[in-house]
Amino acid sequence: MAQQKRTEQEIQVQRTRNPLLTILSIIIGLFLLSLLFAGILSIAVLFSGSSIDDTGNVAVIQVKGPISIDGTETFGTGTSSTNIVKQIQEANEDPLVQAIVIEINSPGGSPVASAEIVRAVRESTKPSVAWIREEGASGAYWIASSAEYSIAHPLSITGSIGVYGSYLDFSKFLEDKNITYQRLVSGDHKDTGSPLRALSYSEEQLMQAKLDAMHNYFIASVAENRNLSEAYVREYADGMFLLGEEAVAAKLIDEVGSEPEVRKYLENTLNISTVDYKYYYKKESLRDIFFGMSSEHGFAVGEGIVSQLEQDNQNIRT
Amino acid sequence: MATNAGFWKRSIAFIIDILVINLVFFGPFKKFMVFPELKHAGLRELIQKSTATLPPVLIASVILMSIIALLYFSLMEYYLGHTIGKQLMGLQVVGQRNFAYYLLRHVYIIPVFPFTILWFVEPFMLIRKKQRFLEQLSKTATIELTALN
Repeated sequence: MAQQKRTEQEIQVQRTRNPLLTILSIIIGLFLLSLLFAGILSIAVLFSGSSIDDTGNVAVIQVKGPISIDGTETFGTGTSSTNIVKQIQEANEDPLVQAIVIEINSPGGSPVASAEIVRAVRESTKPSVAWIREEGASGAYWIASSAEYSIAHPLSITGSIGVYGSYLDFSKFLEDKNITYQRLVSGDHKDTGSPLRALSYSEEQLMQAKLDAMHNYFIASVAENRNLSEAYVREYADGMFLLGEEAVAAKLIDEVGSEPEVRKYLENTLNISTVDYKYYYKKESLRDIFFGMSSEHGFAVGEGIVSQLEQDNQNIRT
Repeated sequence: MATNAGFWKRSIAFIIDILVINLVFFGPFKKFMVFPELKHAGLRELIQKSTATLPPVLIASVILMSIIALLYFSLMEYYLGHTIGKQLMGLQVVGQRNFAYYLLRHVYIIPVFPFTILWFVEPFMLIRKKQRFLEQLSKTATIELTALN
């Protein structure tokens, strides 16, 4: 009975506190503490100079989203060729890594960025396997073709060997609004491709010739990577994508499959008895740490909008 | 007459609290919790993957997250007598005014041996005696609030 009385008194004391304020104080306090803990961990990762996952004998390097030099395209969700090249080199130098898997889920992107990754894959001394998941088109297919062996899901989108440089021409809109484009250039073609004026016939021919040159380079590189003739690759280089199984039939991919087939290839062909994946991530910068903890997405969106606005309208994409 | 709360009400309250904790406090740890090496793994591989082979950062973040969860339960119950989940389920913690006892009530959250043994002991005791082992040790109890009114 005495025990019961004491218990009820204690409950009364607890109830007299301002519950809402107490709940808010505890939640805000613990949230700040979790930010502090995560910050300390981020700094520890940064200064250790290592990836988050440090174990494994098969490097997995992920190419996701649009490919560009700095990876800031499409609100910062794309792949940076600078990072991917570093990761390939790091995996190549790691004595524990026996093979490199390039996991691809990308529609392609900048020709230069794609070419940088292609070169890094080709220069790697470790066996490489490209694994196309949902999408490995255009520049991303180019990367896949540079690996020693390629596996794609039968329903994945791949191939799409082509280059485009399309953009919106606002000249008619300006004309309708009675706005004049005052052309001031030193060098006849300095503003070729400006969205504020229409291309002349000769300019269109010039631009097309440059796209064709890039296309030829792309075809030649794929042909070399896949050990096929340029004429053969050109048959499939109309820019149309192929499904994974069509790409295998066209010899543009080696095998249809998913992760189990990748694992089988590593085990059976490359003789890696126990496959243990080591995932490579982008190294965190101080900016990532400070902005990434609480406002990562908001910051990326803001940065993405600015970068999109700043971009030249004549984006050339593979 | 205050009666100890039953297993199901307490389990639902616990699930609500875990959801709150996950939603509010675990966001900053998300980037350390990505271990895609396991996403293709079967159950056998997941079980075989011992903590010895997990990245140190992952282990550190799990321990820090468990400390946050421990503090959430302890502070809420110490200052209010209930957590958000317990309040929604009409439960109240009674018995002590010393914060150390409220910490002791929840040490099972820390995923380190020997506390992990309690993951099996606590539900067993709760079903059998309507009072967890750590509640007995800390001389606290979780009761149905409606029984006091």
